[in-house]
Amino acid sequence: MTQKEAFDDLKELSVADTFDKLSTSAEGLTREEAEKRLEKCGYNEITEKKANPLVKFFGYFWGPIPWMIEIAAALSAVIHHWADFWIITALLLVNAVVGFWHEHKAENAIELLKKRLSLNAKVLRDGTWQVVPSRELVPGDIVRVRLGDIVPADIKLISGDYVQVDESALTGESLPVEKHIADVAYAGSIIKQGEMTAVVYATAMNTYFGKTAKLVEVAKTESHFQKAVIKIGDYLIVLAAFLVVLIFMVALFRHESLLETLQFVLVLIVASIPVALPAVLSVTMAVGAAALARRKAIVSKLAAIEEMAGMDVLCSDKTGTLTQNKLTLSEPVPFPGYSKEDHARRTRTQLTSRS
Amino acid sequence: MHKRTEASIQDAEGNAFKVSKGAPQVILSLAANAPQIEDAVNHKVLELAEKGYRALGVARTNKEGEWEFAGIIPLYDPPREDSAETLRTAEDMGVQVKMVTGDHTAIAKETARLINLGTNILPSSSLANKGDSATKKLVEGADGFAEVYPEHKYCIVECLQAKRHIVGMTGDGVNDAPALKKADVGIAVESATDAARSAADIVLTLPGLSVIIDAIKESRKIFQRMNSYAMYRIAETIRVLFFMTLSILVFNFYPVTALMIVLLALLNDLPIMTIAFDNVKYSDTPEKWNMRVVLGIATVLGIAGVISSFGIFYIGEEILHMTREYIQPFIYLKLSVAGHLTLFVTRTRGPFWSIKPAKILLLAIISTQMVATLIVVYGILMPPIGWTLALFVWAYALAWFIVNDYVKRAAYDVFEHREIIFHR
Repeated sequence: MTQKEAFDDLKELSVADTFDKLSTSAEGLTREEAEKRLEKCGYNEITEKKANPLVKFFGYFWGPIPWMIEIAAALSAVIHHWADFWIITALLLVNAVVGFWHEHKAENAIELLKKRLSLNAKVLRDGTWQVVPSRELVPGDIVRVRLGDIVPADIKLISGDYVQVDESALTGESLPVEKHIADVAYAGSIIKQGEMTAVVYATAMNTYFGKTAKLVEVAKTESHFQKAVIKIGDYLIVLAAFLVVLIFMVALFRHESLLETLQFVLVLIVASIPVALPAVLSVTMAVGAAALARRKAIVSKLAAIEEMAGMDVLCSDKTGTLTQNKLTLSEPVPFPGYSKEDHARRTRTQLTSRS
Repeated sequence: MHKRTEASIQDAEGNAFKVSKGAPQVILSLAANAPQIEDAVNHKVLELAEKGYRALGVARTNKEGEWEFAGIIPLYDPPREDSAETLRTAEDMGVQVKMVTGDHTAIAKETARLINLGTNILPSSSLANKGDSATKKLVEGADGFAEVYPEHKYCIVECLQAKRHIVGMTGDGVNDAPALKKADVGIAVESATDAARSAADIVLTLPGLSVIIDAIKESRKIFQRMNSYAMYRIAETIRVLFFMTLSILVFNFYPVTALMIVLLALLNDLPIMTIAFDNVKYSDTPEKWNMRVVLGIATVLGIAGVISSFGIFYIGEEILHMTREYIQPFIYLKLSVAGHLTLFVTRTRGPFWSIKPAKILLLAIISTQMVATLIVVYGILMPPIGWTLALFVWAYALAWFIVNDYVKRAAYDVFEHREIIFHR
C-alpha cells in the first residue's frame, strides 16, 4: 500500500489502529527502523528539481558561444597557429571553470541561506526524546508538538490534553481549531496553545501541505532582468555579425587565406560577444544576496534582487508587518452594575485561567 | 468551535461564580438581561468597529447563577513603532506602500491613519470584476485593501501588473503562495510557513517593514553595479569591433592579432567580477533598465574609443614611424588599459571621482593592467615595445579617460534631457 492511500484512511482510524497500520507504538521507532523508513520514504521536504553538477559544467562547453570558441581553437590548430590555439583553449577552460565555480558558490550560498530557514522537530527514538531536523522525520515517528511549533508533518494526536492549531496557512480559516486525541494536524499549521504527543502518518509531498505546494509551481512571470540581458546580447550579436560579414567579404576580395580570416573573425566575435555578461551579473547578484542576508532578508531567487530594485508598489500585510500583532486591551466599556476596575480584574483572571 | 471561554472562580469570601468572555453576540445570548441591553451592545460594538477596535464581551453569573452582561472590552493591534518612519522612507525612495489585510475595513482605516498611510482602503468586494479596466484603476489608486482573502491578493497583483507596476507582495500562509509567485517580488514575512517561503523570492527573518526597505536599498546598489558593468561591456564591444573593422576595411591592416583579442577578453573580463563589491550609492527612484540610456551612453563612449584607437594608430604609424608588427602590441596595450578605464567612467553618473571605487576592484584592475603592460614591454607571444612606449600608452589612455568622463556627462545630459522633451 502506498503512503498516499494510507493517508485518507488514517485520518479516520483510532490511535491503536493507526499504530498498527504504521507498525509503530507509543514508544516510537528505533534509530535503525527510522533510517530504514527514511530510505524508503525519502526526506520529509518539499522537493525541488536539481541539475547534476557535471552536466552543468559541460553546459559551459555547449551552446552557440562555446561552439564558436571551439571552432576558433580547431581552426588555429589547422593553420598551425599554436600560440593562438593554446590561449583560445585556455579562454574556453577559464570561462567554464570560473563560470561554474562562481555559479556553484552562489548556489551554495543560497542553499546555506535556505538551510538557515529549516525547522527542527522533537522526536522519540530509541526511547529518548531528541531534536532532529524535520526533514528526517518518517511515518511512524512519535513527535511532541507544543505552542509556537510549526507542525513538521501530517500527524495524528495520541496523547495529551488538547492543542489549538492555527490552520490559517492551509485553509484560510483565521480562528485556531481545537484538536484532541485521534484528531489530525497538518504539516505547516501552527500550534497556538497546548502541548501533545502525536504520531507522524504522512511526510513530504504526501502531506496536505505538500499537495498544496505542488499547485504553487504553476504561476510564473518572466524576469525583467532576463529580458534585459537578452536585449543587450542581441544588440551586440547583431552588430558583431554585420561587421564580421563585412570583414569576411573584404578578405574575399583581397584574396586572403580563408581559413585565417575565418579564425580571426571567430575570435573577434568571441571577444565581442559578452560571454561573461550573464556570469558577471549573476555573481554581482549573488554577492548582493549575501549582503542582504546580513540584513536579515534571505533571497531564494537571484533575479528577484533586480525586480526588487525596480519595485514601485509594495503590498504589505498589516498584521505583524505594519502592526505588532499583539492584541492590546483598550479602555473597557462597562455596562450597568459594573466598573472599569471590575473588568480589568475579571479579564486578567480569565486570561490566565480556563474552564 | 468555541466562541467564548469560561472560568469558575471563588472570591476571597468563598462565593463561587463564573465569568466568561467571547464574541459580544455570544456573550449577549448567554445573558439573562439580553433583550434590554441588546441595542446598546450592538450600538457600542459598531461604534468601536468604526474606530478600528475589535470587541470582546464579558459576562459573569450573579448570586442566582444567571449570566449578566458586564461590559465590552475593546481590543486593537497597535502599529509597530517604526512603521510610520519606514513608510516615509519608502515614499522617499519612490515606493508606494499599499496595506493588505483580512481585517475589517474600519480596522484597516484606523491603522492606516495611525501610520500616516492614505485611508482610501478598498474592501475586497470591489475587486469582484477583476477583468475590467475600472477595477484596475481602482486598485492602482487605493491605499490599501481590507477583508482580503489570499485569492484576492493574486488579483491585486494582477491588476497592478496590468498597470505596468513592478509589484512586491508580502505573505505568510500557504494560500498566499500563488500571489507571492505571481508578484515580481514575493516576500515571505518572518513568521511565514514553508509553503509561503518556498513560493517567495525573498524571505525575511525579522518582523516589520524596515527589513524590506533595507533590502530595496541593497538591491538598488546591486542594480547600479550591473548597470555600470553592462554599459562598460557594450562600449567595449563597440570599440573593438568598429576599430577592427574600419582598420581592416580602410587601411588593410589587422590592428591586433587573434591572440591579442583573446588576451584582451581574458584579462579584461575576469577581474571585472570584483565589480560585485564596488561602492555605489543607491538611487531615490525605482530602477529600471533604461535601454535607451544604457545603449546610448555605451555607444557614445564606444565611438569615442574608436577615435582614440585610431589616434594611437596614427601616432604609431605617422609620428613614431613604427613598423606594423610593433604597432600591434602598441595598440593592444592601449585597448587593454583604456578598456578598463572605461569601467571607471561608466560606474558613476557624475564625475568619476564622485564615488570612491572599492579597493578590491581597483586592485584587481591595476594588477591586470600590470600583467598586460609586462606582456607588451617584454614581448611575451608578441614583439616587445619597451617601457617608454608602454608608459606613453598609459599617459595617452589616461588623458582620454578624462575626456571620456566629460563626454559621458554630456551624453547623460543629452539623453536625459531629450526624455523631458519627449514627455512634454
